[in-house]
Amino acid sequence: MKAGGAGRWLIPALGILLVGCWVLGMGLGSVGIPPGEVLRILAAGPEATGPNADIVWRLRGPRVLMGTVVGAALATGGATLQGLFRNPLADPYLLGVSAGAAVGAALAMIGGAARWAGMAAVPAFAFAGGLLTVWGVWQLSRAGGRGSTVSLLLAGVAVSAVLSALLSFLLLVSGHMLDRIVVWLMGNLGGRSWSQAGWVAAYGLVGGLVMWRYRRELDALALGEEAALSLGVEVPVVKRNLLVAASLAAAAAVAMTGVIGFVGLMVPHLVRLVAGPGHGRLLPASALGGACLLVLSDTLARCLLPPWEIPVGVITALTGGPFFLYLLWRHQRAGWEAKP
Amino acid sequence: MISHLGPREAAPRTVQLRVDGLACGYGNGLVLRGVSFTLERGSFTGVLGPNGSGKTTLLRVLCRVLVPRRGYVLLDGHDLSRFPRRELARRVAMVGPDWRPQFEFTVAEVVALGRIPHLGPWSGESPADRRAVERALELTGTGALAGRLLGSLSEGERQRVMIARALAQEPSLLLLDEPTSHLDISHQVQVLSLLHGLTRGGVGGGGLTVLAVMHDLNLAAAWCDRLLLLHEGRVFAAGSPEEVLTPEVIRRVYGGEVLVLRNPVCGSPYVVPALAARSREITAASGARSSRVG
Repeated sequence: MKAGGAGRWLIPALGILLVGCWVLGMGLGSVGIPPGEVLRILAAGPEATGPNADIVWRLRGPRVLMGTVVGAALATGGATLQGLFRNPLADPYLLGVSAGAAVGAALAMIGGAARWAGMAAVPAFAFAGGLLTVWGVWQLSRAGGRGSTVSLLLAGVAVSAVLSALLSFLLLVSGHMLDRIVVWLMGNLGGRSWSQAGWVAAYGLVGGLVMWRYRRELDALALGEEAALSLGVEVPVVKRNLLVAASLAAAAAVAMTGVIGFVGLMVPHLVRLVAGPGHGRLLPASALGGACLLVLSDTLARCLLPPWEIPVGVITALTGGPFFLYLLWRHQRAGWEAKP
Repeated sequence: MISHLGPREAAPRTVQLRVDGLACGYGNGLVLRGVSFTLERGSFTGVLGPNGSGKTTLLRVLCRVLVPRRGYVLLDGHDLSRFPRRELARRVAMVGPDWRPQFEFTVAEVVALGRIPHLGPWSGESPADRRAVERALELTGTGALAGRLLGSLSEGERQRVMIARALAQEPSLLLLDEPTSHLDISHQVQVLSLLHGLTRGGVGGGGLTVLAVMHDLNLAAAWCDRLLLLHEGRVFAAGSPEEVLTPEVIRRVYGGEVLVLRNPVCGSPYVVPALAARSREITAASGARSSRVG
């Protein structure tokens, strides 16, 4: 029932909604631009002139694209890891990507790399920090024995905790950089260029293709690893490739925008409610849903308290937290797992 | 002790699975210590044995979840370990003891999982895939449930759906780990007659080979062509139910006195614990009653 009717229309509907979010995201803000003019400016191409064209093409355009690709990367990463670990609470930050990226970014800002190479060094350090952490967690989980799912989760939690402590220490000694680090940590889409957004998009696309390629394997893994093996799935290979894909996409996103929580956790759950849990539909629908959610949240972040901009991570956490509690409560009543 | 499954009917059938000297375990211990047997194509074999005798481990080796330490398994004449996993999944399907999907899949989606070994990474479902799913639903009588969520089904329905999922793989060998253990008696009979029918009927034309781990000796005796009795990681007895289920064998494997009667319906062996103490009680009680009446 779930797989039929509503599910079939979800992807086209989300596609249309996303276009709406783009127009809205480029039109709303301290200077309002009507949708018609947004479309006219976009149609005129990047050579368009005038103050509104500057806003659309140089300020809000890259920002909307960044929201789109980061939202898509986080939501598909969340869907993938929830399937891979058979754990509805998994998200793309599970294996320490965000903690590692945060430490990397803080080191770059404090250690002078940012002063020496400009703020462009921050994403590079954050990206490296995120990936190094995932690699370390992966190695740690295998050191004890077979690299089971539980040991991977535990290693992720433990390493994240250590890195959070390290981050607290870095914040303490950061001096005048404190504000910038804190704002980075809260997640922000502003002030990014087209090329930075394109960079995240490239990683997101590669990661997304790998996830899509393994959509059926993810379905099989929902039955458990032994069942997946008996269905012909090379579980260790699939697991490794999916972890790499999800981590790369998440690390690229975190590196550019900071820690934006709850998108990866929330969107896949919402999509499953409408379209069912099959990954062939869940992955693309999550990508579109995550993109819509983040573009909308960012628009809200810009419009709620002018002239201030609220970090978008605060918006997603403020809306996502209560929403997630609602889901939890609903599931507790219905039974978290599908039990008779 | 009978070491190999002999043909029950006069006409010899082809050997589908040959297991020889299989040893396997977890950590340092061995659970299987040299298991050898053969399965004929189209036969229904029950694996019996006390807890810890290695029944589940045997199934896990046969669908290559576990790698054996020693010995080999030949499937259709080829070494099991040489099969690419996808190719193996097109020949051998497994129904695990407690495989439940995380997240709420519908019955149709669960059964369609069985097509995974037949589908390439970038291809969509072909009409052949849809036919295989429909056929699996039809064979197991679960077609009417197709749109329901798996979590909303009864235990017996769920077991039939999991069997349908395995049949959608279009295997030639079906392995089941305690397919009837959580079921009430009518659902047990339903599942077993389904499995029996599959070996006789025509999945893939030639009849499916079924190997099922079972706990209930009498159900196994009634439905299976052959029984394989494991004890401490070895095959203690193998053969027809009459050959395997004797008071002597059961005393040595399970350590209890039993009477072996005839199942009044199908004539298969019927094992009843010889409860000496309980029978004295009953005799005494009926004696007391009759004396009162008298």
